[in-house]
Amino acid sequence: MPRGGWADEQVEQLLGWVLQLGVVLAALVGLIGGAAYLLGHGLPPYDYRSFRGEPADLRSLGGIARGVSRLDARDVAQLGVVLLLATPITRVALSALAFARQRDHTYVLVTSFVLVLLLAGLLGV
Amino acid sequence: MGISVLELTLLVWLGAVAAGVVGALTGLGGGIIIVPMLTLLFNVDMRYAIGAALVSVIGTSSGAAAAYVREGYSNIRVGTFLEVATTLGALAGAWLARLAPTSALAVVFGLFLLYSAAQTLRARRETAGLLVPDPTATRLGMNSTYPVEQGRQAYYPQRVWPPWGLMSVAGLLSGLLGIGSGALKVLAMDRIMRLPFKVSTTTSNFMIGVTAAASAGIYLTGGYIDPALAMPVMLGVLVGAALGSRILVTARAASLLVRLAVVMMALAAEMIVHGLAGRI
Repeated sequence: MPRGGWADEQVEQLLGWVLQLGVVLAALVGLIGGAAYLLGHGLPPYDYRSFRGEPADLRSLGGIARGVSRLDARDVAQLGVVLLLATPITRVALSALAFARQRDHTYVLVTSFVLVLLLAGLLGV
Repeated sequence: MGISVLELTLLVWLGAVAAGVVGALTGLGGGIIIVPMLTLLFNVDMRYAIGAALVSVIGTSSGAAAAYVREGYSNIRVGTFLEVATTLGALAGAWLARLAPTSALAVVFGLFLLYSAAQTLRARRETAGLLVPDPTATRLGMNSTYPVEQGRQAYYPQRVWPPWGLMSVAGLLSGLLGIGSGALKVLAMDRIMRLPFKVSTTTSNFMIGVTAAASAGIYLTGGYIDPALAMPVMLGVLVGAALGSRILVTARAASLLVRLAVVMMALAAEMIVHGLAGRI
């Protein structure tokens, strides 16, 4: 049975706030990075017509972190994308924790499995 | 000379706002409008378009889910249980998308858009109601209540395992095409599990972010997500979805839906033709 602070209704409130916070944070960081990028590089003609693939520093978490520490505008915008990706992942991790507190072992197993799949996709395993 | 990055960004943002409005009005989400817009209107490579659409799908579904979860409509246990199927499907879809030629992706996309457009015109049939608790659903703690005018109404999810098939397909299409595929998720929960409309719609929304995040990770590490394209798309769809949900559902809504469905069918036909001709 649910114990203090981890009843279904309270978990719903918590998950709702995490989702809200994640989207707002991602949008803000993306907006700042995107605006800085446009101010610096607004002139050259675009070319998304043929696919070349993004440079390595925009493809991995480590590369994006290094770019952000250099204050590279594209990496800051990409950090916004990563924060957005992290939002549902954080939500799943918190669900797993909540089910653990409720001693609901079936759902701890199910949520952990989903979490592993999500991290495998993000880390490129 | 092409157009500048600044002009393209503003146009893409405006297009994404429109896509967000249409997505909210039809209940299909922004992704399914974003991909044809970027590929047909802006000549963006299908893979960049799918990457940007997936990012916007995570944004809108998480934003909407935040409110629904707090209001107690979404069934977290049903969502969590079915996320296993959608996530596995999404990973397979993203993997497949990296191998498939873009022209094939365009044809599949067109066909699914055609189906989704037709689906918006069909009235949903409420099949919840007086049901007996299902033993498996009860063991999995899925029986729940949802807010109605007179307080909270109890409901009992039926057949727990059969939706896994449809949910895997929904995940596969999500990863392959950059959409939320909420239409399929809702179908499985409405018809098979016989959840009340509001519960299946909001639970589907709850699951879409996780499904999209699974494949978006693969797109990110594969170099398919360009921040200069994905950001204006995501910010535009968020604004559009907020606007769309505020447009009152009036008597004119039905005729508006028909017109939107016709436009989407035309887009679908265009995607199929371009795909078959190898121009995408």
